[in-house]
Amino acid sequence: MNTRYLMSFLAFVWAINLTAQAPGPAKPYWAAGLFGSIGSGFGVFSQAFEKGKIVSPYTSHPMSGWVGHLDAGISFRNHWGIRASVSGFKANNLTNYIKGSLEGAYPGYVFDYVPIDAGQHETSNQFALGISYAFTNRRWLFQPDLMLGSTKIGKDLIAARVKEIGTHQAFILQYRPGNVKYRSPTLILGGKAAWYLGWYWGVFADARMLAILYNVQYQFEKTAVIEQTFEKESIHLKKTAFGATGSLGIFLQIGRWEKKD
Amino acid sequence: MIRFFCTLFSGISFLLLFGNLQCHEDDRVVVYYQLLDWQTSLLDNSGREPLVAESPIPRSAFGLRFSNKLSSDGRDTLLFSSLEDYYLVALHPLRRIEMFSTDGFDTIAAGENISDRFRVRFSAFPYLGYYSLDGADRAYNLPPNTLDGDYQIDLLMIDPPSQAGAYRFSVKITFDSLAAPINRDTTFTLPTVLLQ
Repeated sequence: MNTRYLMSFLAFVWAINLTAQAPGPAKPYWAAGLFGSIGSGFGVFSQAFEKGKIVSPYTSHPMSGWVGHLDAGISFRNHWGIRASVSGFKANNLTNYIKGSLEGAYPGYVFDYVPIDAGQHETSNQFALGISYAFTNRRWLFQPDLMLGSTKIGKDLIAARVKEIGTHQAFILQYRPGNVKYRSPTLILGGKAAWYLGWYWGVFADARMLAILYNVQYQFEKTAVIEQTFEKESIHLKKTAFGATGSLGIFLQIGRWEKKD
Repeated sequence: MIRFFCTLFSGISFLLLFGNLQCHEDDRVVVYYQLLDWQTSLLDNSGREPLVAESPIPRSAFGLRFSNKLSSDGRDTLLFSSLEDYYLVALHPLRRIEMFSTDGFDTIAAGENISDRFRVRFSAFPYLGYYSLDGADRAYNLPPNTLDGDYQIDLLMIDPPSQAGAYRFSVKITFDSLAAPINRDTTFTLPTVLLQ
């Protein structure tokens, strides 16, 4: 399915490119101005929370799979520009992993979980803003960019009633996210190779390297039911996940600020 | 202009006053209940939840369940299906349950109070509490399943005898009514329990 989609897209680009190769003005197609673009592709992400049996209330993060980008920006006559990007990623669901890690720490106990659902998301989103520079030729341009942004991660209260098999011993365990509105800071280094099919539009291939910097806080609470003791621990966790995305799309350029010939 | 503001101020004041004076009328019927027919079961708390079991029972997971029928008049069982919207209030609040060792064990003398070796289990998921027997008013007087007509109190023996064997326990239950003890207190001895 993906191969057919890609072949169709390339055929579409080739056909349009043939029609656009009619003799025209010799000046570059690129001009300062406003642009917007939409692209879709594939991304690969490392999983910072799936190592070391970490039990945390941060339950979903970007994962390998589909990515989509909506970009807008402005380019100035000196080829520098400002770029804003909204991206969507497929998100994982760490609920089972978290449960497995927690149960591994308490062998011989049975667990009853408070339902975990509020923090589950099928997608994650990302907002980013940065600078770009355009290296131009007549019809094409290469535009590297550096952006800073934030990436949504899912979170939820992880709470369980834990009972030891064969005795009355029981605990109530809770992991509470400390950052209610938290989004992970994200550093993006990318580049776009674009081909003008007309004065106002074209197609592009976009590649990005991402570093998602998790700097999360949460609280672990343990209540021993028989002893009626209460333990509370604040945990500060710093992790970094890396990702790479590649996408294809189309762009529109409006508000061209062209030099007078 | 002054007249306009006076009218506006009066109107807002009226709305606030009138709004606050409106009381929420609670249509629910208060049903006073009494407890009938004390039943006692042995519990095995080895698993996820305490289950009614027969002797012998593991010492480390031994418990007792007291269950009753609810009655509004002290004679007939309360029929919940005939009540549409109600809340229950104990007519004679249960104030205290005390446990005694009938024959003694370990360093415990016969007849000695061993209430501190038991806890009242109060479970309303996800909450789980084990209360000491002298401070469990909430667990005694409105256990979680009472609204379903299922009045139960579970006692767990958290400090069991050190040796397996046959043991006998006695129970003393004390009620209050209008802060004055009434003649509903009850004491009974449980059948012999085999603990392994």
